[in-house]
Amino acid sequence: MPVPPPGLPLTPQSDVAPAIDIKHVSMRFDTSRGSIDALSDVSLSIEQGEFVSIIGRSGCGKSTMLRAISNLLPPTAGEITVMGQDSVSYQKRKRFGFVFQEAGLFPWKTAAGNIEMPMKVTGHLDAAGRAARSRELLKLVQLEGFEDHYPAQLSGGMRQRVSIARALSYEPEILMMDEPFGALDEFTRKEMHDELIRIWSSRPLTVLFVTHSLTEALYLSDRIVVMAPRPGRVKAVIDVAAPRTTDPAFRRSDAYLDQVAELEALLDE
Amino acid sequence: MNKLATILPKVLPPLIVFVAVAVLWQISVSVFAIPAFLLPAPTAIMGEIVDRWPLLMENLQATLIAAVAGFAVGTAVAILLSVLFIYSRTAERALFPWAIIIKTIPVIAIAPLLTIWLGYGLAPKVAISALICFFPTLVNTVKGLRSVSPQQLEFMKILSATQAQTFMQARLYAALPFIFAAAKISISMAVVGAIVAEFTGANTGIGTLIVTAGYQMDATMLFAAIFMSALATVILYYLVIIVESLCLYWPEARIDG
Repeated sequence: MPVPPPGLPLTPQSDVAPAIDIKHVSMRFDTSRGSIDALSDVSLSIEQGEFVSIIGRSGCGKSTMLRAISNLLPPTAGEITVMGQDSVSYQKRKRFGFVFQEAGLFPWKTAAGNIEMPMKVTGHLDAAGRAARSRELLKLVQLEGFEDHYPAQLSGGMRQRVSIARALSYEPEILMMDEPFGALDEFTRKEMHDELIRIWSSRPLTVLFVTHSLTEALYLSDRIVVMAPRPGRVKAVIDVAAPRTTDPAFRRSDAYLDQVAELEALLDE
Repeated sequence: MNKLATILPKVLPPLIVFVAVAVLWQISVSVFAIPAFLLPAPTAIMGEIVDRWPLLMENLQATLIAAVAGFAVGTAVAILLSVLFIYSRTAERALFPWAIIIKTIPVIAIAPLLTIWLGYGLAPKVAISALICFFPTLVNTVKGLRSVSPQQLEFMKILSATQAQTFMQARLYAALPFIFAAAKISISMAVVGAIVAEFTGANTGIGTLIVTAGYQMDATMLFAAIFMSALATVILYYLVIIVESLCLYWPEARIDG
C-alpha cells in the first residue's frame, strides 16, 4: 500500500464536501524536556457517511488527531476543514459527537440525565422534548427501562451504550470514538460492534474510530488509517476489502488474511 | 419486625457495653466510696443535668450558635476561595501560603488575641470556629473541584459549554463528596473551637461553665457540661450526615466510605 503524497486528497474528489479534510496538520507540544511532535504533517480526507478507523501503537497521535479535529487541542500548523467550513466556525453551528473509553459519563446523573445534559447545555429542545428524545435514544441503544439507573449501577457495555446515546443526543454529523470498547470484555465488545453498525447505518453519520485492535478496525470500517509514532504521522490508508461482513467464512478467506498480514506488517515496522 | 431483626444485631452490642460501663461505674463509686468531687456517680450526673437543665441549655445554646455560625463562615469562605483557586493559579500562589499560616498557628494561641480584638461576645467564638473549619475544607474542596475527569471536561468543551455550565454540571458535583468529607470533620472541630474561645474569656457558653466549675472543683457540673456538649456535637454531626445523604444521592458518591 503506497504512502500517499502529502497534500493530495486521499479519496477521489466529489461534489459533496468531505466530512473532514485535514491538510498538513502538525501538533507540537513543548515540554521541559524538549518538544514532542505528536502529529507531523498529517493529511487525510474523510467522506461524509464514511466509517474510518485510526489504528496504531500508543503514542502515535491517534487520540491527538481526534482532539485536533474537534479543536480540543488546536493544531500548531495546518488546516482542518469540517463539512466545508473551518473547524472553529463549524463548531459554532454543530457539535461533534464524542465517545470516550471510560469515565466520560457523569456519575451523579442517571442514564436519562446523562443523555439530556448535553441538550440542556446546548439549548437543544425544551424539557419535555429532551425527555422524549432521551427515551427514544435509550430505545435505540436497547436500554429501555434503565433510564433511572446511575452509571455505577450499569455494566461496562451498558455504560458505553449510554455514552453513545449521549453523543447522539444533539444530532451530530460526525461521531468521534476514542477506543470506546477498549475496556470491555470480548463478548460485550462483539455485541457493541454490531450495535454500532446498526446505529451508524440507521442515520447519516460519519464515524472516526480510534482503536488498538486490528480485528475491530477490519470489522467495522470502510477505511483504516495506520499511524506511526515519533513523530506521529499517517503511514498508510487502507481500503477494507469487505467492511462489516457477517459471513464467518470471510474471516478465513485469503482476502481477509492478506489484509491482516498487510496491517500487521505496517504496525510492526 | 423484620426491620428490628436487622437493626438489633448492630445496635445491641454497643448498647450493652455502654450500659455495662455505666453500671460498673455506678457500683464502683458506691463500693469504693469515691467522693463526688473526684468522680460523681452516673446517677448524680444525670440528676445534675435535670436540676440544672435551664442553666446548661442556656450555655449550650450560646456555644452551639457560635459553633454553627463559625462552621458556616469557615466552610463558606473556604469554598469560595477554592473556586477562586481553581480558576486562578496566581490567586492560589498568592493566597495559599496564608492558608498554611492560618493552619499552623494553634488556635488556642490566638484565642486571647481574638478576645482582645473582638470582645467577650459571640464574635471571637465564631472567628475561632471558622478558623478551625477553614483549612480542611479549603484543601478538600480544591481537590474535589479538580477531581473531575479529563474526559468529563473534554466533553463539556466539545459542547462549547460556558465556564458556569461546566462548573454547575461537573465540577460542583465532583467536589460535593470532598466538601462533605471535610464538613464531617470540621463540625465537631467547630464546637471545640467555640469552647476554646470561651475558655479564654466569654460571658456565656459551655466553656465558661466548665472553667467556673473547674475553679469550684465541681466535678458533677463538669461531667454534666462535658456530657451535654458531647451529645450536642453528636447531634450536629448527624445533622451533617443527613444533609450529606440528601446531597450525595448517587451511588458510590461518598469518598470516605
